[in-house]
Amino acid sequence: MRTGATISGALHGGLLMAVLLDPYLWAAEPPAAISLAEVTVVDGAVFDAALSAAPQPVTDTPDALNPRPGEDLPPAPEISEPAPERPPTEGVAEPEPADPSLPVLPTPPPPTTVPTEIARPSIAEVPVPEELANQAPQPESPPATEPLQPLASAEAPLPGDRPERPPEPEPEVAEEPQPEPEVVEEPTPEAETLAEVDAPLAPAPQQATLPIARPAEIAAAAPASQETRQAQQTTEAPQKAAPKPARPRIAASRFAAQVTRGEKDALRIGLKRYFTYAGNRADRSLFVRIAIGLDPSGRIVQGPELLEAGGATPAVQNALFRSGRSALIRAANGGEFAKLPIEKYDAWKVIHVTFTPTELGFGT
Amino acid sequence: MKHTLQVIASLCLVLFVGMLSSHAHAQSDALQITVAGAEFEPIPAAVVDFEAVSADLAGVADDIDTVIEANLERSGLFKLVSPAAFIDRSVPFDTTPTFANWRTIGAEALITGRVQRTSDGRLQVQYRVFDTLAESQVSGLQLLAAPEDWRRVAHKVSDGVYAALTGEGPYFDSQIVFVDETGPKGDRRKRLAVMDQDGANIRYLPGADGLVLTPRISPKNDRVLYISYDNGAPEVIIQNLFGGGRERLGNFPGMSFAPRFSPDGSEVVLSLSSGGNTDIYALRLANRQLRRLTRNPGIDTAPSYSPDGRQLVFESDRGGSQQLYIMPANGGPAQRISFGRGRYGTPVWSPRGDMIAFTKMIGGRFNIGVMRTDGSEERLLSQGFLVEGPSFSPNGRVIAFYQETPGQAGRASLASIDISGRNLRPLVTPNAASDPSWSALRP
Repeated sequence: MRTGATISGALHGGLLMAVLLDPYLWAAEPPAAISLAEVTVVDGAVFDAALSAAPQPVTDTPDALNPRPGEDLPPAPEISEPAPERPPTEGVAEPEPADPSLPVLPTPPPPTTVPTEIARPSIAEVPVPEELANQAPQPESPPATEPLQPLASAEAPLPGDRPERPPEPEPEVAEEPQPEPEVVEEPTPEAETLAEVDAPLAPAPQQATLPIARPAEIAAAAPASQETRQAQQTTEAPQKAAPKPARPRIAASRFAAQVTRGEKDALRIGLKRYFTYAGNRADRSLFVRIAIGLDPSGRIVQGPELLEAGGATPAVQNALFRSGRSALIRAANGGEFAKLPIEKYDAWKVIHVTFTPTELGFGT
Repeated sequence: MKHTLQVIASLCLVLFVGMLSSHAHAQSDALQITVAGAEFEPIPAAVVDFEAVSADLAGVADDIDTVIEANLERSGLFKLVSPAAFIDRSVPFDTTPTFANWRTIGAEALITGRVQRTSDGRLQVQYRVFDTLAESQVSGLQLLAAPEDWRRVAHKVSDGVYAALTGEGPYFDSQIVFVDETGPKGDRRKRLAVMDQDGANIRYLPGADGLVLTPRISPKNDRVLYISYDNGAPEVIIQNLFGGGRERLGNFPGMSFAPRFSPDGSEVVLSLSSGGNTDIYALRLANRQLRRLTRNPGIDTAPSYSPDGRQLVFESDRGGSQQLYIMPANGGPAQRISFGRGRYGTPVWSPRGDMIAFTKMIGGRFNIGVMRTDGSEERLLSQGFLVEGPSFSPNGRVIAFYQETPGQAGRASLASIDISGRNLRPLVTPNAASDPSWSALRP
């Protein structure tokens, strides 16, 4: 009897202590790494400012540098010299005199850089590596340098506020000032070949930032300095292996009502209706994991952001990412996320969706 | 008392660990959903008319547009948005597209381009591929070529677009060598022809006529191997693809069949028949040295190298029925990889290295199929009265083969199919055609 009372007292005491000390125990935990919020939700002015402040990879299209849609750029300067001919290919005797020579030059990212690039007599002579050194390591720099508002305070009501659904989700999700999810082309075998053949393709590696390098950077970003982050990305970019996933700063409250298995299954079925993919499925380990942040109406307000990718080649991963992103956007437009129970908003305001093109993919 | 304190301490520890675990879980996890199994659906894309910088290039720009659109559409991986639906009729090359207008009409990819002439008279074609959802440029290249090579430029642009959006390797700028057939079924004239993969630029190889079989183009696209019956018996001929120079390859006793180049082009692997036994040999082209790779009383034939040149797949009836086997490229123990019902033949290794295509005869019907290199995941793609001779596209995504209709009026024709089994298409040729051999990507 006495022992039972002691145990009961100890349990209750421990529970009370744990609850009381909880804020102190966990408050010391450093804020999570760069979150989904930091790389997505930003209004146009902030985003433009961030983009103009930090050099971008070649494939990015910084708004601050771009003309508005439809706006004409200054005409391209005259080509002062012809681009170099592709040297004759060794070993391939094509006696046809008309055998074409196809030096392939990278069209620079749109649009302002185009005239500059084209005006160069030879892109190989351009000090591209310096640009690369400045640009490549900082694909995340705009969101990283610009303090962004967390999702909850930016657009969504506070978790405890039992939000009501806005009347209608906007049909054009992409109208949101979403940062570009870094769809950076990994050079295909052909692109590499062309690059080898044509020296002017020197800028190609600029465009070859692997999508999977980004989550690695995100994961490592919080405790690291900017320099550390740059170094990490430089070293990790060529890696094919999937990095650790990013840890969202906005986590579901541990006291929030959980989404039931049935609700998850319904969402999975709903998303699958929109998931189409035309690319290579040969590698059964192929997958991408994409994060989105939602407002209570089920509208995407953050992302879609690539967290992790694996299998096949980076080019195939990119193609799958585009498919997954398209599925999420179309699903949001189709109201799939709005079907989630609003009283459990805390549990689904950030969703990580893993897409695998084959049915043999691993389950949740 | 001491015991009580120990119990209390233990319970507190358990509680603490439990909370730590639950906290970590809650902290790290957003709602996790896995969506496995995507429906196949072509990528909706819009190709805007390429901009001709000068009026005299308008026709060329239109031609290039047409070839690009045809390539993308024929691949089966793209669904082109009709220009009639375009909100923006044109997109000046140096301006950022109004992405919302393209999303509105369902185009997830947008292709723009510009055609101009350089000061030395060459054709300069630039293009961009945009992702309208991400509002970013996915790819952009500039190509220079002689004006008469506009079609190759169009294929290169198609390849760039295709690779950028699908992640697959390119294949449009490639050729197909095949046997052109004319005349009645009992007295057909067979001659070698080569064409672009889209059927354009067809031409016939001089001297390669009469009765020719199984042409195989070299990895460098400069020579072609085939069997000729010009002298009544099958002979292996190697011929320059450009210019027509040809020679008989070796003076082998008995019959010779199914020659194929090694991946580096330095060797030819073929089967030779002597004394009722057929085995596989490798012939080094530099010194014509012949090496025997199999020693088996069965019929070993139709060898095909793996892309790395280390292995060979071939067909053999050594086990009692015609099946597929893999062995080291220098010979050695062979491992059977096909175990299904029916007979397997004409295996060919995918350029990607992950699959083997074959012909399967079962129930009186022919099938074209693919399987993994270990024999797993066998999948039949096309069936017919006679379908045979698969050949992979340079990226390993598409298979060309030939099919023949039954009867005296039966006609052989070429077709292609995606390795998924979708997108069966005819490869249009002026006459009947058989034995396609898809080239590597052109340099």
